Amino acid sequence: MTAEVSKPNRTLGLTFLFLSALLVVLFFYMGHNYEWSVLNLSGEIGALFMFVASLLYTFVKFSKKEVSLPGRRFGVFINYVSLALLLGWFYVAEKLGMDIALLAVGLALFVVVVVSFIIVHMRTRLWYLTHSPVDNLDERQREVTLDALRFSYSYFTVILLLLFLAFELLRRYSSGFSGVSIMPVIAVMIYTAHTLPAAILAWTEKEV
Amino acid sequence: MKGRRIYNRISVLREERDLSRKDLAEKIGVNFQTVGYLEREEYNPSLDLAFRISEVFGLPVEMIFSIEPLPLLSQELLNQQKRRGE
Repeated sequence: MTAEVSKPNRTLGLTFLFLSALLVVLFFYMGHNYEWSVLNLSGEIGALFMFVASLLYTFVKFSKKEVSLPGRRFGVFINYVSLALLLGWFYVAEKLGMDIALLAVGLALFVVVVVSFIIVHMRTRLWYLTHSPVDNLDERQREVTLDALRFSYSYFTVILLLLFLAFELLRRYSSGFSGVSIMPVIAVMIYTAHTLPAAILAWTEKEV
Repeated sequence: MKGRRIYNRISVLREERDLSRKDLAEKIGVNFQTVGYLEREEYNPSLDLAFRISEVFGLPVEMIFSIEPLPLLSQELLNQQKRRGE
């Protein structure tokens, strides 16, 4: 089933997407080259919010509701790989300092994470399956959702343990690693905790 | 523990009554994708759902579900006719 979208809606979505992307780059550039100010920071946050909103709007309007199993698996793979790269990008940017090329890479990775999230989780409605009250699901949906939650709990614990182990080893044995912020890792872990059950469903369910 | 496969005639009965998957799903109170899983015999319904399905089709549960592969309805009719003829 393809979502019908009129031409003005498409143009509106794409225009907002382009404008907000431009604003995000502009505010980041200003913040990098000039003193950070409250105006700069609020402008940047506003532009980023607008960018995400127009991205959501455009892709929800454009993409198909049904995504094939190989398509969903590919989406899950891309989503987590781009997320891991985005995490690496944070540390590279922290170490080397931000420039326009690095900013473009970060922005591109962010777009890939958001787009793959929308395609895999939102258009397929798998996100709602794992986040809606049990009473809204039928018996099969309850069964598969519970299975996905159970598996994701175990996988998430293992991922978390390995990540903290790697972080601790790097902190102990790598001189340049002390004082590095763990906040990006926590942010990525929160995202993973929320998306992993739906990602498992996207990977396993034949029909969504 | 994975349950054994339960065979069913949901697909044939639904087509016979000119119902879409969505129509049947609404009548038995499940998501329409679940009807697809039931028809492909990839999901075994609960006893409650099995009875709801049998109520919608107006047939006894054992005519819709079986633990052995179900013969074609046309074949069963032919067999019945043969039995009556004997």
